[in-house]
Amino acid sequence: MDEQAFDAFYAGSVGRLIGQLYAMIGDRAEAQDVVQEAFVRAWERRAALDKDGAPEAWVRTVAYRLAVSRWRRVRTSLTFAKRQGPPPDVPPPDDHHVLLVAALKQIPAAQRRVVVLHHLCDLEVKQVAEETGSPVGTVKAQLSRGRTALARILADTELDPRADRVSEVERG
Amino acid sequence: MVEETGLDERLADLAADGRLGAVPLAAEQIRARGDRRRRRKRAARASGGVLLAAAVVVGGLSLVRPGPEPTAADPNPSTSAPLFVPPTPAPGEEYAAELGYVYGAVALDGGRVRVTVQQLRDERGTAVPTGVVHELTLPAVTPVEVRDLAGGNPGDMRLEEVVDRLRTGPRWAFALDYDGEGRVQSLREAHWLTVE
Repeated sequence: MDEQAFDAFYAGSVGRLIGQLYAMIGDRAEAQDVVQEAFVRAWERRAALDKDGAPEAWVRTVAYRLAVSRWRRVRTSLTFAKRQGPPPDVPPPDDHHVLLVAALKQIPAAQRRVVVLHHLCDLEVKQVAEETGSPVGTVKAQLSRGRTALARILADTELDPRADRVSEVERG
Repeated sequence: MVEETGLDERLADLAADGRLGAVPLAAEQIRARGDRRRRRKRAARASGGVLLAAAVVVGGLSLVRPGPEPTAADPNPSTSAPLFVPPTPAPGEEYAAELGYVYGAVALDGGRVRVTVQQLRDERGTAVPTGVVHELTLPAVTPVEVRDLAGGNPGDMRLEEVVDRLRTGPRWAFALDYDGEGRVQSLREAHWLTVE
């Protein structure tokens, strides 16, 4: 992967990966930091990345691993904060997103990760298993538990799908 | 939210929200950082050559200087500490690396860990002791990149988390990254070295 190819890969995937990591870890700045750090490592080992054939999955996996390591989180945040100056003015998140992030944070990290990989990254269960290094059966169980837990946590909130159905009936 | 379609849409909205707030670095900045990391690792490998040159100079001086025969390398910090000088980063480099076995780790009060370092040089991929042994007292939160030490899984840990594994004698080789002030900023397991 030469500079041009890397730049195109970066430009084409960095935003998407930040969004995915945001859904996995629930922190925007954190998601940006770990994705950038993962791209740094991707460039460092670009030769191996070419052979791997799935650079975006590699970056996502590395970014996730970075995110779950708390000390690294603190260190990369500080490093990037120092390099990038104060954070830009970002509008506050949508209320629904706050609810969803809070709900996602309440389920175990492994369940959250597979839910995001399957429902947001559009990976099949087998692909999720490959990316997480877990057996297919485990991924299926985590997906099921994760969805059930989210439904329970979001019951009777504005994100409760039953509320949508009621309003649709009311709308007639 | 039990419905998959609903979850898909909610997550997509959430991810889009995360993307909107992102201001990622330019690609060339990412590449520059990757290149710096690569140079750091190369410097760590090359440091063996520098240490070899220093050892030759010291050895040469001892040949012309009258006095008792030097004893075999003794892994005793107090006898060899004067030989140790923290490496200095080359111009444009963030860190300079020292290769060494790290052992004798002891957790101290105040969030610190004391370790002994038996300095090594990289001789065609094989770890060879230089005879220099010194002690370091480091913050317990010093980052440690591990691989074999963690059962073969690459990962990032804190020094305080590996104290037990580094308590015994010389076994695990690391590259210690010194900043321009001579402070150790991180340790990286030197898994590329063959340890004899």
